[in-house]
Amino acid sequence: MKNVSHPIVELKGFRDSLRLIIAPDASIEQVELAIKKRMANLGYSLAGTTMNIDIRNETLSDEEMNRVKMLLHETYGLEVERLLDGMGRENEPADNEIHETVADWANEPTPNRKIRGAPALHREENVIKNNFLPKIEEVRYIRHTLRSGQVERFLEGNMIVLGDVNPGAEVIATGDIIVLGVLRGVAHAGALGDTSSVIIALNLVPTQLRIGQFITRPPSGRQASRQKVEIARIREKAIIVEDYSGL
Amino acid sequence: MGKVIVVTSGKGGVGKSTSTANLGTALALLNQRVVVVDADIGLRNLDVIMGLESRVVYTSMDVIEGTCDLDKALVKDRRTKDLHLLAASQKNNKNDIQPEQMKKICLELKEEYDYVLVDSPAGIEQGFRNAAAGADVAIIVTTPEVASVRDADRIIGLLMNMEIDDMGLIINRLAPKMVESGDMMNPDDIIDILSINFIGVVPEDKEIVISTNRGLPTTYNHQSSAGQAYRRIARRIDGEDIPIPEFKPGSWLGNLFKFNSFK
Ligand SMILES: Nc1ncnc2c1ncn2[C@@H]1O[C@H](COP(=O)(O)OP(=O)(O)OP(=O)(O)O)[C@@H](O)[C@H]1O
Ligand SMILES: [Mg+2]
Repeated sequence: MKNVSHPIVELKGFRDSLRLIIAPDASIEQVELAIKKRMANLGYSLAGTTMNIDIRNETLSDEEMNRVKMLLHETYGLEVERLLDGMGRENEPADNEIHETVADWANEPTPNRKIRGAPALHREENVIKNNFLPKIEEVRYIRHTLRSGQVERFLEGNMIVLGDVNPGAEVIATGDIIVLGVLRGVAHAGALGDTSSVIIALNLVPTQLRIGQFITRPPSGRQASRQKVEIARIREKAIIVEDYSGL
Repeated sequence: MGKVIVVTSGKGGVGKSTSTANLGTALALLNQRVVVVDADIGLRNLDVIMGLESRVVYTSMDVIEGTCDLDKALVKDRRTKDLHLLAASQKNNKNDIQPEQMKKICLELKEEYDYVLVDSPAGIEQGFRNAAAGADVAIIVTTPEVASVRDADRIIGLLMNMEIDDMGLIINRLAPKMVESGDMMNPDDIIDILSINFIGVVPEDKEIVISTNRGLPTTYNHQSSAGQAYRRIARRIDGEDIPIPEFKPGSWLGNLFKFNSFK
């Protein structure tokens, strides 16, 4: 690959869908490999999400594009909907570049980005220091209770629910998830792999919690009326839940 | 102008038809003009529970197809003044009727009646959508089981999307002993999760089965605890301020007895 300034594939969140950006001159083999590498840690956790493929790539044939679609659909359960032609990006808000949604995975250097004039932050480092600065990002507010069967995805930032997340409901965000109510359903923070993401709820009695590729279930018999705010986060490669007393 | 109330649940077999028949009867006994509508097309059984099966001639399908006027399709219940039934066709299925058609029937009925109770089929598909199409109010029936509560929650979300915000919750088939032993969901937790207006508990009662087989709603039976519960719920629906039991952790059983002591 000649042009080293572009990663071969880039995965971005855009509202409740994903966008896959393929580098202009990558071959099918490179693309497939890069997708597998990027998705390796996310596994099946994004299944059901809509994905648009942004093709600036002119070297892939229609047949090869179909191979990419098949891979995304059958291996990762993504719903590949539209193929944008790279021009589609013109319609996005001008500040789209600030939405840093892809986490830094150990051997996958991400290009430095300017975030609204502030120095680029590596949240991962800050987790270690247990003192991270707020990430300048979008927040989606959901001002009602999510009931069974309802799924809310926000793939370019954090989510705040002013209500409960009931059993059978699911909230998914690329950043933090804060539930100002009872979290009884499934919450998936850091859905694109940002393991510095946290889940906070006034009452944390979930069916399942996920942060990045980590999954945990509460011990059976956890009482619904705990009446204390708790936080779930990754510590040493596992999700731990503890009383919340600041980050 | 009356009210159209859809009785629904999501999950099957939790007591929608039983509740429709009993609340319809109880409201009529309160001197309200009532019609109960069976919207479970293809699987009609509200007429059986009401003991009116042998008198059904026309169904809502005949009204929709124009074979018969709405007035003529109603079966009058001779035991109680101003109680009527609109039966469902057994020959057709849920997709043979459209929400708009059901809505038209409901609108016409509420011109004449105080309460139009629509018995919804189970599920979240077209049959449910038909049943809810003309509703002003929804009564959600759930049993104290995780799966039933889950489906009720789903239905509440769908009703909210349909802009039916006026909802009441009935917990059916509660067995106090089982709650006490921790083998059944606590009403408090159900109310907490569903967080809609709670209008009453109907206990598990074998009289329901007996009365269903006889075609005589339990409401007529003053000895039956379920019948008493339905009569109280009907008065609440009709706007009377009947105290609702409070289920506080640890003390809810005592309160349930207090609730029963309203008999
Ligand atoms: N409180 C109760 N105590 C005992 N049995 C009950 C009670 N309520 C309902 N049942 C029984 O449960 C069964 C199902 O009741 P019903 O037919 O009213 O449910 P439904 O929700 O209308 O079912 P479907 O979804 O099939 O329409 C019936 O056999 C009925 O007699
Ligand atoms: Mg029924």
